[in-house]
Amino acid sequence: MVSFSSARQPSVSIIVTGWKDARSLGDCLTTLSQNVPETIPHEVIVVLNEPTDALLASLRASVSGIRLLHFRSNLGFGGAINCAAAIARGRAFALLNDDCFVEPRWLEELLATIDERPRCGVVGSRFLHPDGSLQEAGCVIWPDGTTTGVCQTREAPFAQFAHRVDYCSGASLLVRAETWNQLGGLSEDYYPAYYEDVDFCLRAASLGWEVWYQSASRVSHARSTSTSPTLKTFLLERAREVFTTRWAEWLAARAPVRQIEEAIWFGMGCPIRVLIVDDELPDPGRGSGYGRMFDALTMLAASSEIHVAFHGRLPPQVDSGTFTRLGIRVVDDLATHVRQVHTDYDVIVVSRPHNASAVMTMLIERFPGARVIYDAEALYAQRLARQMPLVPVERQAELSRRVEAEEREECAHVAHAHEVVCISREEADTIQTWTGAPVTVVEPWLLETKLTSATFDERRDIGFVAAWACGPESPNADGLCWFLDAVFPRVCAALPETRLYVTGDSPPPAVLEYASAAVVFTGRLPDVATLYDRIRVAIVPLRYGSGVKLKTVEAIQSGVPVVGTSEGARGLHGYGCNLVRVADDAESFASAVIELLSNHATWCEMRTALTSACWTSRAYSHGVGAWPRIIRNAAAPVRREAARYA
Amino acid sequence: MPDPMDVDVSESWRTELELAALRRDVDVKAAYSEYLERLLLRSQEAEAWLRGEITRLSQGLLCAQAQARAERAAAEQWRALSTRRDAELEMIRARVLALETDCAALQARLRLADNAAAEMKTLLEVERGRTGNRIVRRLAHGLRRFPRMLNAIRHLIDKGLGPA
Repeated sequence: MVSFSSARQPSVSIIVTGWKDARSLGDCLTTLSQNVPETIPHEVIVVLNEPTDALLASLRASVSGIRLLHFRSNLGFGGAINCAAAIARGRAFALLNDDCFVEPRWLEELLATIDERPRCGVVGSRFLHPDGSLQEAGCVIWPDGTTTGVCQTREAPFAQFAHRVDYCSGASLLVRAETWNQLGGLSEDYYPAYYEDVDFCLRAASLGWEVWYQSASRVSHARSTSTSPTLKTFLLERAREVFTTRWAEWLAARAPVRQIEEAIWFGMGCPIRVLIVDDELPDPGRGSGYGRMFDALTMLAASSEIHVAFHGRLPPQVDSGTFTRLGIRVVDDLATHVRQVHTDYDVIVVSRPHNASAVMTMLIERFPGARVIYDAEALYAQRLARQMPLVPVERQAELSRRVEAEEREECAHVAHAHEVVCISREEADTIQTWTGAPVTVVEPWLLETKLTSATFDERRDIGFVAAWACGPESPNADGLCWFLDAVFPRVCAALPETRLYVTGDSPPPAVLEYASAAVVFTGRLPDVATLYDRIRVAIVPLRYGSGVKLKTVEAIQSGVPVVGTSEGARGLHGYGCNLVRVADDAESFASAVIELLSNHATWCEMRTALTSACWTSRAYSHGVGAWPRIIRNAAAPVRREAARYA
Repeated sequence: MPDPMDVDVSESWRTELELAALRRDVDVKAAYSEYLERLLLRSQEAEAWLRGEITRLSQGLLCAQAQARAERAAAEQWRALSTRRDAELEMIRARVLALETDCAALQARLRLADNAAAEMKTLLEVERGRTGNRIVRRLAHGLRRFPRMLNAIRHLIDKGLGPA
């Protein structure tokens, strides 16, 4: 028995349609019951045209919890769904044909798409053949009104990521109830079937709604053979006549489209095409500026007028699905990708000097019309130069050579790029002295402010957050060792019960040697907020580095007072003097930590300074939220030039 | 008695929808019937056209076959003629070769005769001065004819009509 628990106030109404014997309906309902979680309040409405008695009997015997609507004559695809929608109570309607078998996360991904994109009114799934191969990933409309499902090998990359499309098949389609009601449902002029979905999506788009294809929502589609090929051809041609008459003007505007890639790009709304190259797909939990890149990608993906392709030069450590479902194309093999004839970009962003050294020249040669942005992330030469006093004398000559080489390289990238982006005003000023070119500062604030709520009394101890991505020679290892050697004993002498919690995967052996009852290595935390909610003080005792320390930013945005060296607070002094207690020698560092651990008033005063600012808002206005504007500005001359020759 | 699963809708509403759908269905079926008739007509026209094409192509094939046969016969004739001409040419070549050989022999003999005539002339001058007898006169007569014979032979050789 397949059973559904129909919600009193469903969030989604799943409308399953079938005709006559609808022989796959049982399997369709079974996969629905298995793969639609109870956590999404939903109702299932089954609407049947001319059902056989056997089908009705079988349905009543084997299924419970659905709402059944059946008609003795054929109301057509549009008519049946419109009737079902009239009694549906959800805020969104998920249309599903009886020959579609949904896979896990089918509905979650469709819902997430309309939730994350306020202008998305319609979103469709990825259709697979029963053998698992691609059947259809959104559809394009040709100037003569014929349509093609995106499914061939050369188009396969477009199936891998979510994007706007001309339309998606009504066989698995989620529609906002608001959009549905505005449009008055499916047009019944295409009776009995075909082209209702095409017409619906174009009408939605004409009212300003976006139509999306969501690669992460999958259905296996058997493709019914209940209609003879001749009847299907007749119905398609008949429906196409209605469609081409109704949409003649729209189709005329499509006249220049010849190639499928062009048609797909038109369907995407002719977005600005951006290629971003960094070390790897960003995992915000791994430090090293990945949180910043993750936020930047999130911001860019949220903009429908920008399409982002991302190439990580190292193998991915995170699931690429996290990004593709947002609409980001993940490019595995850059050399092959750029050779493809129809690949073109308006803007190229290369982050960090070693990535720029590897690919910038090649990309400039391949895409001479594109604007190139060098995202400095941090000045690596400066970081090495600041490390100089801390290394043994015999290593200084070698380090000095590396500083010179690194600076030459960074200068070259700045000179090659059309624009430069960096993370602090201080580094922007340095870069400007090299070439005189203007530099854009993208402030370091994170998009998500996870303000912790525990009071002073509910907290204790100290926290040091690190990801250890840079290995044993990282500034983190040096800084923590200095703290444990020179500062922590002073703190423990004053407050013997104090513990230090250190996060992160695989800290270097030299650091692990300090493990004790007082120094606890937590490993990587699934959510670092759990640590921020229990410590009184976060420390950033770094002695060299560059850019801005995102761990400092993260602690600030969590509402945890921070004690840091000048290096730990670098790039942040312009945003308020109370954000970080700065101390560069061991004694004053220990005093600051002790005071914040023990003095309720001082702690509260600093906490108030941290929580009074609206960091998320600042991140949107001056931080990563500026990326879409930077890309739009950079692309403007390219787009103007393209428009001249269009 | 409706099943609890069934959505409770007004029967009149349902009937109205079903009737409207039936009317549309009838229209579609009529259009489909016309479409099938058009398809049938088109297929009949196509069949007739195809038959005409087949006939035309068959005739063309027959013509082409006849022409091919005629051309094959002409080619055979030409090949035979060509073989005969080759044989004749070979014979003529052999005759020319033989004539050239004969010419060479006659020229050698002519040179010998010229030499002999020069010697005889010298001898005759000696003998005429010494005796002037009858034998010498006869010899002189023979010598007078000898150049004419030589000229005749030279003429024949020049015309390619030398001895076979």
